[in-house]
Amino acid sequence: MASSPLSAPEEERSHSDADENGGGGGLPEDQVFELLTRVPLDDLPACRMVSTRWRRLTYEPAFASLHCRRAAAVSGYLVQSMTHNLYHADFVSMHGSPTPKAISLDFLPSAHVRVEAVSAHRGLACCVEADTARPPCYYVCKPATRQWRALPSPRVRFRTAAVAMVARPSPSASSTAAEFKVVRFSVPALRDRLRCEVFDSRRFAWRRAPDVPLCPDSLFRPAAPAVRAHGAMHWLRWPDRLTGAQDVFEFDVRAEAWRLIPLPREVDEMDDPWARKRIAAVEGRLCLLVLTDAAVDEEVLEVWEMANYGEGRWRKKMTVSLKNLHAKEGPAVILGDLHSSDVAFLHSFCRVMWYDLRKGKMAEVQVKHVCIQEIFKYESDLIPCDIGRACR
Amino acid sequence: MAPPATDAATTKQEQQHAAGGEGVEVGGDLRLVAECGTVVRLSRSAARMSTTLFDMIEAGCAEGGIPIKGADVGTLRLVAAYCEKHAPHYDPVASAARLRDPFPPFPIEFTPASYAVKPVTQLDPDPHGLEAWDRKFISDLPDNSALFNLIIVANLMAIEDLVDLGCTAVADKMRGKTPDEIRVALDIENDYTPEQEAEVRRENAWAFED
Repeated sequence: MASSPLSAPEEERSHSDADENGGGGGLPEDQVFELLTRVPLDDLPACRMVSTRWRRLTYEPAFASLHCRRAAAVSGYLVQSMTHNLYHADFVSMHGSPTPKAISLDFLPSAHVRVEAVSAHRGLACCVEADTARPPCYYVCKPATRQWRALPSPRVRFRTAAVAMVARPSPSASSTAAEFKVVRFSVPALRDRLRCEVFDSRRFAWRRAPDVPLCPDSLFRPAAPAVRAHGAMHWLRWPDRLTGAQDVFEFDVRAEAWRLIPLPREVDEMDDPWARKRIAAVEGRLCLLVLTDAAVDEEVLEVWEMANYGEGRWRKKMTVSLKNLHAKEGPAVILGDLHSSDVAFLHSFCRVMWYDLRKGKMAEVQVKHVCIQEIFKYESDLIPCDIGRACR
Repeated sequence: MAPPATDAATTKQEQQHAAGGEGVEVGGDLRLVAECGTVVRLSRSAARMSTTLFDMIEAGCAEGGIPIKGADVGTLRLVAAYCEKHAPHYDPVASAARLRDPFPPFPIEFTPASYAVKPVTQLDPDPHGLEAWDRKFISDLPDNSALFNLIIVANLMAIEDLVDLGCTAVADKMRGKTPDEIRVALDIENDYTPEQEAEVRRENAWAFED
């Protein structure tokens, strides 16, 4: 009989399946991968908490593009720049766009808005009216579904130092509205501390939080937006004028508590005044990116990762030379963000690209920005939601 | 589980099929042998949906019984019923585009998930009643392990549409559940150490105190 058993090549697999099943019944790892690519974006954080194997599967390089297609989600960056006194923001993504129309902010009632903060969950963004002739007005919007809602204004006569936004990862049982909080730091008249205001979507009002006794100039108009890692928001402060030391300002929105995380000593002792530093969040952990010039025309990128968050201890994860990158793409590419543990997001004149530091360029998108100033990581599903219905 | 009435229809089809093939002997239905030895019959047109069986038919080694290791009779019967129902409307290109290829070379209309807000007027999305049949098929399954066996066997036989249906059903079951509930439902072992678990929990902690 010429019939062969159907599972002859599968025989080895079914033996190793028992090892891959995690000791229980259930599905082999391939099927779990297929399953996770179909889970809606809101439920993915809960799935990451199920086991380390599931978490590793969601961070695999092949996962993101399949998940965006199957679970109807968008994942990319909102890039913002200012030209001719007008702010302009665009959405760029490594994967194809599932919506027929590109995601942008043109649905807002004002033509000139500036993105202040983007939440890590539910795809919400906080924008402010940037036209100085009109009274400043804050909006919360969901660009993927073109929904927006105006917020009551905070004390706008104090200049904004930094803004951050957090949203509840999945809709609660009691309401389907998106719940969020917006934290705004502003500079009081005396300029010796930071005023802190928190907007709560359930009360739909701003509330004053305890002041932060830091010099506001160190946080003023940071070049990079807040980085969400370990459940808190982080900003890299400008270097201290006297000592030149830098640290990371961490603010926990839930506890309304803050602390300063010093940078690794090796980085502080690096005697390079031209070293460029950024912070990023990779797989939920805080990372420090340090760019130095090792030799003429050779840039070296060091990536430090948070080994112990409670103690504030760093660990050097990798050192990569960007010589090949600059040889291929030219010297004028600027590192924007670390998209995943091997992929960096860079921007240059009128284009952005995702570059795998080991394998080479992955994707490139042309944009109409000459020099991008702010980059916000944006992930959202395409489901419309109520934006913070006020509870009475 | 092919009713004999379809034999007449299928002989015509697989005669055309065989004419395009290597001129193999006329086949009737394929015989799939489950783990316990019971035979489940599957017509050739329905077997087209399974890439493995299709390749075997093409190669001419689909005679006699085809043992399917690891599949019990109930699951095989369900798989056969699914294939019989979907076989007349099976389009390999469309299913590949929907499932496997993240960057297909042709444009795809992207429909939001079923629980999204739908426009008022819409073309009938379910012309053959297949989606309603699929929903009933999934809801008739007795429990999770039956669903998992279905996915495993469908993966074994390389029926992508059924794998997609099963995985989407399990993903829908996981909506709105806490990690503990997911672990119980899918029988997953929690291999986080307590420190790692506290760290991951803090990552997703909501800013309110509940």
